Amino acid sequence: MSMNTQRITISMPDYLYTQLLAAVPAGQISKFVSISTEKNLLKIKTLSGQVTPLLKLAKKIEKKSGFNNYKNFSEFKKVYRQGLA
Amino acid sequence: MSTQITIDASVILSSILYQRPKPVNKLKEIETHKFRVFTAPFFKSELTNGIRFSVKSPQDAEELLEQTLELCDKFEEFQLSNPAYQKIMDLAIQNSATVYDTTYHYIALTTKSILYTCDHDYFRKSKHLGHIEYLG
Repeated sequence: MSMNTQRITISMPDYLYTQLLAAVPAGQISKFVSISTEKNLLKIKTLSGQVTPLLKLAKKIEKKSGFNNYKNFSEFKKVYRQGLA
Repeated sequence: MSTQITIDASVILSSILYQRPKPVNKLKEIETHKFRVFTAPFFKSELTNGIRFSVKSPQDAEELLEQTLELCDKFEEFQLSNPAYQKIMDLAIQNSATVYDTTYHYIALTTKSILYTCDHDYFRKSKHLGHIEYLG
């Protein structure tokens, strides 16, 4: 099925353009930009409505004993970063 | 106001585990204003670790992780080139900071966005670089 298209001129940071040229064959850049745009528009549309339910769930969840003893977030971070360090 | 921002895992973890007003409000602002949100490629690993070390019951941890990751699916994990990692290492050494924290900051510097963090230790070390705001 054919689809109407618009020819546009876009600007992007140099570093991004360099990465784009390296990653995508010259004849497929329009298709790549279209797919990326569609994916990002979908993300923007579906973000709403998720924060409040997550915060409600988090509020009722019981924390491990000792969790509230951390003086601040940075102290807790040192502990949970153990798995990454 | 910038329409693109960078957040580290501390903003999400501080919101869900501590319910701190500033990060919670930032998340609500992101939801309302449709920011473009950048984050690091290891962001979800860090969230998973934070939940693992804080939630008592494995079932609760599983449920909280599922919803947290679904929310964070909407954020863009910024892909880093090999030269970028070199710059991150240089910055980390200069600031006596970890590569992980510096990666978030590098993404903010590269995308000319603001890095929001709840980690005061890192903020104190690196605020001179700019593009960073502490959500206490």
